[in-house]
Amino acid sequence: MIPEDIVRFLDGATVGFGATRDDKLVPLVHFIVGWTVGDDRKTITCLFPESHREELVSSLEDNGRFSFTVLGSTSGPRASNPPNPAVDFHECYQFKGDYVASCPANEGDLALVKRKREQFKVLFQPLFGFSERACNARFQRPVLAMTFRVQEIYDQTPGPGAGARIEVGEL
Amino acid sequence: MAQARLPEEIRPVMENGIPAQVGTCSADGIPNATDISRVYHVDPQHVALSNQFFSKTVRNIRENPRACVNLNDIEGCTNWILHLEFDHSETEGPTFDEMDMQIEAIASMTGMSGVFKLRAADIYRVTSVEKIEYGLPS
Repeated sequence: MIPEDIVRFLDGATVGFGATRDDKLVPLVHFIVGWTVGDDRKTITCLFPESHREELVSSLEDNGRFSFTVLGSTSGPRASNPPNPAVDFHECYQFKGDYVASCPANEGDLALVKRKREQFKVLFQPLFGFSERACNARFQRPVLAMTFRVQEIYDQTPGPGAGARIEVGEL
Repeated sequence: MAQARLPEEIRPVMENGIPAQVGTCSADGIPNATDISRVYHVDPQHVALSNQFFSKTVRNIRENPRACVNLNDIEGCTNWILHLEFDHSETEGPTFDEMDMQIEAIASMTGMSGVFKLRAADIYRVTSVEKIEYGLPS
C-alpha cells in the first residue's frame, strides 16, 4: 500500500506528469492535471487533458507501463523552518506501475482539477509570477481518467537520496 | 537518421526558468519521468541536459538513447515536446561551463547550493519538435 504520509503529500502536491513508451521503446511525456489515490491505496487515477492524451491510451494498451512523477511543497520534518516556498517546493516522488483502466473524466474529476489549480497558484504564483489567466489555462478540463496499479515508489527529492526506492512492502 | 531544427521561438521558453520534464525508457521497457531545472540550447539541432543526480535517467539513456522533453511556456499556454537522441557527454568546455554556472545560480535561488552539482553536460540530437497550444479554458 502507498504509505499514509505519501498519500497526504499527493493530496497537497501541485505538479504531476507521466511517461509512457511505445512498442519501439520511444518515451513520451504527458502533463497531468489531477490525481487521486484509490481507497485501497494500491492504485492512482490520473486525469489528462485533451492536449496530452495523444498516444497515451495506445501506448498503455500496447505495453501497460506507466510512470507518474509528482512534486509539491514539503511538509513534515523535511520542511524548512521558518517556511521557505522557494526551497520547499522540491519534494518529489515517482510511482511506477501497470495500466488498469481508463474512462472519460466526469464532473467530480473537474472539481479535483480545479482544486489542484488553486494549490498550484498558491505555490507557484509567488515563485514565478504566473498570471491568473495562465494558471487557469494550464489546468485544462480533464477528458480522460486513467488508473494504474502502483508497483514501485521512488523518492526523487533533489539531494543525495534522489532515486532511492521506498520500501513499502507489498503494493 | 531523423533530424529536426529548433525554431527560434523556442529559445525564450528554454530560458524562462521553469523546470522541464524528461521521459526516458530502460532497455526492458520501463519508462521514467523526471523534472529538470533547465534544457540548454547548444545549436539548432542539439540541446544539452544536465547530468546531476538523476541517475536512472542517465542509466536509461546509456541503454536506450531516446528521450522526450516537455518544455513549459506557462504564460503562452503552450508546451513544446522534443524528441531527442543521446549523442555524447561533455565534462569540460563552453557548454559545460555555461551550464555549471547557471545551475549554481538556480541552486542559489532555490536554496539548493551544494545539492545541485553538474557532473556532465549530456548532448542530444533533436529528432522532432512539436508545439502544443492548449489555449484558454472553456
